[in-house]
Amino acid sequence: MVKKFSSYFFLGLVCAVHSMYAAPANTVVATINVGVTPAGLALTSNNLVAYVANNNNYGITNGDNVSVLNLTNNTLTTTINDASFSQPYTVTLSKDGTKAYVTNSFGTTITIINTATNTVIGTITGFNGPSGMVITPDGNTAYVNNYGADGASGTGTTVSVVNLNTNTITATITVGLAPAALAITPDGKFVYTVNYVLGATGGGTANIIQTSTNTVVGPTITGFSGPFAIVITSNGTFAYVTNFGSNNFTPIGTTVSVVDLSTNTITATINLDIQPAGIAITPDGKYAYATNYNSLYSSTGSDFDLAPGQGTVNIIDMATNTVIPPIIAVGQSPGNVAISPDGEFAYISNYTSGTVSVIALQSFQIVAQGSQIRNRFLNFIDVVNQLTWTVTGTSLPVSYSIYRDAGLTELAGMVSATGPLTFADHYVTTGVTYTYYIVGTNAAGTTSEPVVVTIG
Amino acid sequence: MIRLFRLLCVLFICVCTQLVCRDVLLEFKGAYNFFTNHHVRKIYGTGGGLYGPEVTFQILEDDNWYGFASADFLKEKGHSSGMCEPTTLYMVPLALGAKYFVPFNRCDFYVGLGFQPLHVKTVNCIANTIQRTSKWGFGGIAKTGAYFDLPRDFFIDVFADYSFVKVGGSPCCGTTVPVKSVMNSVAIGAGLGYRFD
Repeated sequence: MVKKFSSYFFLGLVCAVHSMYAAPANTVVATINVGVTPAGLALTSNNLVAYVANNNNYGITNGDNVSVLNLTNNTLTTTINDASFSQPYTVTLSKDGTKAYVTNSFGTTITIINTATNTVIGTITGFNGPSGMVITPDGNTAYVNNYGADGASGTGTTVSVVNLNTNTITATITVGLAPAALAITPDGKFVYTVNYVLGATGGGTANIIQTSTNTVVGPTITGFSGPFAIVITSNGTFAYVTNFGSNNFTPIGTTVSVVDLSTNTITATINLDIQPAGIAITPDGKYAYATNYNSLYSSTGSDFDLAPGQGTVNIIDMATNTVIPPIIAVGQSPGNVAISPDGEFAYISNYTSGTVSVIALQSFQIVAQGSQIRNRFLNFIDVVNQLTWTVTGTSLPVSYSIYRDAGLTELAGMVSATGPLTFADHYVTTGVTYTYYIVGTNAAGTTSEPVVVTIG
Repeated sequence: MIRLFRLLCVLFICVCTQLVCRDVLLEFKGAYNFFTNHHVRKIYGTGGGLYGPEVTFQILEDDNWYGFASADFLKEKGHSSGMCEPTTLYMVPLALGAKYFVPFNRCDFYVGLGFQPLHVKTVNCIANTIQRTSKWGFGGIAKTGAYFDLPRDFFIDVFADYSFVKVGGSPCCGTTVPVKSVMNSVAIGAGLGYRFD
């Protein structure tokens, strides 16, 4: 049986210098081979390194390990092997970035990695199939969901509270059946767990843990369908939960639930593709990227007869809670997603493919308008279509290309970002409608979706 | 443009010296030329310096009637209205007409009217490329002023002229739209001349 996955991402401080390439936003720009059935991944704060937990669902000898990726050139740096690994499932970086905590979903421990040396320096014991971890803003306390270890997978009912200074469990909190994932509010006051329960449609729940008392408070939020992952917006107002559906692959889930954290109720349901799994929010808070696992059993129904369809990533416009194009094709069985702190890239772990897909994101938004100007000289008038635009976001474009056609083949001109953001198309004819397509390209080579301006 | 102006100056002087008349006044004058049309002012500002020679010659037995011919030159920079792109105007107004003098104690006041062909050339910067236009226009000129005699047959001419000329549109380049331009202007200035008796 394919285990459920959780996805986590770590917001850092400094951008990395990425390899130069040129690709439209929301396309896969690299695919990195990692280990066996990669699951959770975490990015360092400087966006230079990614840690990927290879879940080794097929029981390959020495397949339980952690891949370390160089995100500057999207390559595998090293693979960390250790006897403590037991189907590693998620990776969570400490607040200071010096340690990586790997949950061993098949066992009872969490492995601690020194990120400076990429070596295992210890373990934390006492869990029951740990499958996710969040850390309080002060970096001293972690909350770990216990899904249930080998032989009892899906039977866990607790969240462990861990003192990261002593690496010991200090409290155990009872939550719903099979807590699948965790998220912590930005102020660190509450931890939300989503509970798979039995994977039935509408049968999943969520509990709210007050971190000051380490007790469950408030209502149990109901209405999820095999919840897989949870992420909370940076302003702490909403949570997004992916409804994977049953681990037995029937019924399947196809939605993301939006929870209003002021009322702790589901206020919106967004339709995605088959088996939404991992989810992450862009640093500007405007978009959520959700993976669609899309992998069902073949007719024989054994563990190794997984018939993965096309794994995809949907983009959710969080202002309207709707899915917007494009649908991004990635590897097979994409289970987890992490977004870089600068918002330039999303990293998808593809469970069946054994790869990590790197998606270039558009971290900036262009707003443009146009007008027609009668540019009068002494004895003639040059009619000019003038485009002006503004840009917001991060990793802003260094240049802009203006095209005359939707296919982006007929270049009208280019504008450098060092000058005024304006373009003049001379010698146009009044009474004729002109359409322009503005595309920005940032230093990383990511090109934006064209902004369309019509004049006339 | 400047060569045309210089040629016309020489031509006027040569013609004038051949005139069989009692009185020929040759002067070189300078003036500030105020554009009166708002489109022209918007592009080139209020006006610019206008300079050139003028010959005034007695044409009738009557001492009061004189003919005149002149050629002037103006260069003014400006910016198109709309996109503020650079443009330079070169203007050569010619004139041929008649003046009527009314002598006073210390000066001779005059009024005049004439025919004015005007050559206009513009050099325009559009989208970082240079585009030129060249056009003739035709109109008239009304003159008023006074001559003040100086020793040794020199004189000073203080004047105010009003030109009224329209120049047709020029397509220039691409899909530009030709438009007529009204080159009316008021020139106020003075000249220093010599009287050939």
